[in-house]
Amino acid sequence: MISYQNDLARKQLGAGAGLFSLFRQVGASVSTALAGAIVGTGVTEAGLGEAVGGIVQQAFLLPALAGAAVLLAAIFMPKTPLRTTHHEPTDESAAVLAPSMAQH
Amino acid sequence: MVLSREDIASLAAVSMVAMLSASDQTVVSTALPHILATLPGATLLGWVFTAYFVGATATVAVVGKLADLFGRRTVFLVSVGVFSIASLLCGVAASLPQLVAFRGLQGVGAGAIQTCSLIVMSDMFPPRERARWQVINSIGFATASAVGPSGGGFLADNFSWRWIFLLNVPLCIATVAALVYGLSRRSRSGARPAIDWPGVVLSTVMVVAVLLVCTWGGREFAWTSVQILGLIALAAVSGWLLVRAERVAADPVIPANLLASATRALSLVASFANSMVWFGLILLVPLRRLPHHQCGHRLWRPDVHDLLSK
Repeated sequence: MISYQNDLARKQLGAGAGLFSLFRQVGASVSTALAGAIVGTGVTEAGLGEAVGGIVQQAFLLPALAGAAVLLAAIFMPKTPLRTTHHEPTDESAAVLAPSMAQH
Repeated sequence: MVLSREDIASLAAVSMVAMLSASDQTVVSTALPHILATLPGATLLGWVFTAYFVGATATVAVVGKLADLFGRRTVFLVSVGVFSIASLLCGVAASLPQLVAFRGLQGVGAGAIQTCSLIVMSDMFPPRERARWQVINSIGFATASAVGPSGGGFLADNFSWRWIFLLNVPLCIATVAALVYGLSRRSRSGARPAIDWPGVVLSTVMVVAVLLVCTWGGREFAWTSVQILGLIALAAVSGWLLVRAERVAADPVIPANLLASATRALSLVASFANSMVWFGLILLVPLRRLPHHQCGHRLWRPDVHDLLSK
């Protein structure tokens, strides 16, 4: 989150925060929708019994794969120093800055 | 950095509402048996979760723009008000369809709250300082998400599932007081951009279509059914139209340059995937028939071991 905000011009913080929240919510929503579908299937077919546990266990593969994606994103993210003031470079200079910082 | 009283009030309010909105995402998972006993309708069970997230997800993209247009304070207060009223309505719901509808409204408020929290934190601190304070906020967010299922189970077991929602109301009132005090000198009017309504509508349609595919696919309808294929087509078309609309919009709700660098793109990917991990684990772990009071205690180790052993 900080890396994303650090790379944004202040005038775009509102839209940027909205987009960041959208990605976070979509991730949570997709994950929750799948979990809800699993729960609903278990309750409908097997009732609130032990059988639900087996179905839920299989669904743990989903967060495992997502965790691998987070790790890869962190590994390949350019290293950019955090700004110490609210002043920031323009969008154009930020776009140029990021690839150059990746070389360090 | 020395914080003023307004800063402390703002920080406390932001943390409080972020915790409330986070805990309400997961709090109903362990209370579902009690809810079903009071409000029959197992076929709508998944929607008690999903309606909240659909509401939250549908609004977040536009809330940032609204905060630019009407000011952080106004949008934040309206968001907390919507969340509070929806929580009250959830607590007095007389049927499961009502509860699902009110959970959707609660999600709208929660999504707006989480976006406003990010904006207010960004206004308060420069990035290097923000990292320190954001950690505190994130710990609260994560703790609330993790404690939610246990707290929900405790309240449902010992009192009533309705208190899960009703307890939000007094906490929201206290938060509003802190926001009125803390943000009174902090709101910035700035430029007043026009709302990109095509972008708002198309992004909402696209997101809701994707969510409905995830919710109904393979359960309510077969993956190859007309309904699911129609929703996939709707998501694709609305996504394509969204890209076109944002290119010509004077002040787009999702500017293309927000994805223009590797840092931004990878940060968004990490945000998406991290939420999948976090909410996947939080929602799946308590559903393994653990006693409610042990959910928090046994949240990680046994289940992570199970996961790795598979």
